[in-house]
Amino acid sequence: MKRTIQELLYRSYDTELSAGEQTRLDKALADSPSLRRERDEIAALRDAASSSATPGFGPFFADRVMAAVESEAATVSDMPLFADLLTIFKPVAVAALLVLAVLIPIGGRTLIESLAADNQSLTSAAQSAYALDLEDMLCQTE
Amino acid sequence: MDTNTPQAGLSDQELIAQVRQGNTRAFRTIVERYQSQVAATIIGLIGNTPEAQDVGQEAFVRFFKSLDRFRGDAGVGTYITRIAINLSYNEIRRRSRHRQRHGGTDTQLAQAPDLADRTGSLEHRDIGRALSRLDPKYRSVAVLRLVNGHSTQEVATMLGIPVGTVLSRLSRAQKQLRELLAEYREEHP
Repeated sequence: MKRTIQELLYRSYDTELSAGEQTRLDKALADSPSLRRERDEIAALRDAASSSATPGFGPFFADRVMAAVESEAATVSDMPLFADLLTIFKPVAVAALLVLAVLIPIGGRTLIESLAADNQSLTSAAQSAYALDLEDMLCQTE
Repeated sequence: MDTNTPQAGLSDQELIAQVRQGNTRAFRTIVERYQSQVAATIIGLIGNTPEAQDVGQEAFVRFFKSLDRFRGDAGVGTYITRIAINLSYNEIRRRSRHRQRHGGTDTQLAQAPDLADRTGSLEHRDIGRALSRLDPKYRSVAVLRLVNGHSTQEVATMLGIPVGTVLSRLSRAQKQLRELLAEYREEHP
């Protein structure tokens, strides 16, 4: 795609033109006073822009940033302590969860009540097993 | 500047290695080394407003927090400037939302006491005003290339766009800046 002379003029400040493009631009500049005026305006604009750079945020900016960074670093360095606390209190947390599970009613009965109901049948089963064992012992002695 | 600190002679990578080992103070040298570059970018994009320092601080803090992920593919200055650009865009969007909700005209940037006011140069003030009226995508290339003096390749890396796009946006930005400056000259001949 062939670029316009004006495009070439702008691009000539920021990139190297091909030999053909540079020749076209040089010829156009030589022939056109208005293009030369435009070139001078662009150069003036760029000079003004480059000299308008700010020197910085001010004398205490680095102090301010470092205060924030050190605060951040302190938070990060607290993380191992947090991990240690987590390790220590994990069993306590698990125990607390179990207590809650035992005390909170599910389906109308607490876990304790459910276990109590099951214990009844277990006791019965244990008694039956004991009776069978006793019968076996009696048979063996006979 | 960082010339008086023990870390002043260290390279960026050496400083970062020290910070990673827990020497947070080494980070100060990085801040001092790049604060002018970051300030020029942020102030160019959002003006020399009180928010500019907050954005600058946040840019460095975010860089500090991302040091573990920083591989050094891009230079430190490029990396921090990229963070600063993104945070500046956020600030521009925040202002835009604020204007939509509460009305008002553009912009804090145009009204802010910018560098031009400090130098007392009418030309610089006009440049600041004109930059503030550019669309952010043109403003960012103009600030990075024309004001901060980065190469077109650096600008492309910082903005994550091809060099060809940088060049076309630069052309457009300069045309608009010239038109705006011509308007200002007519207002105040």
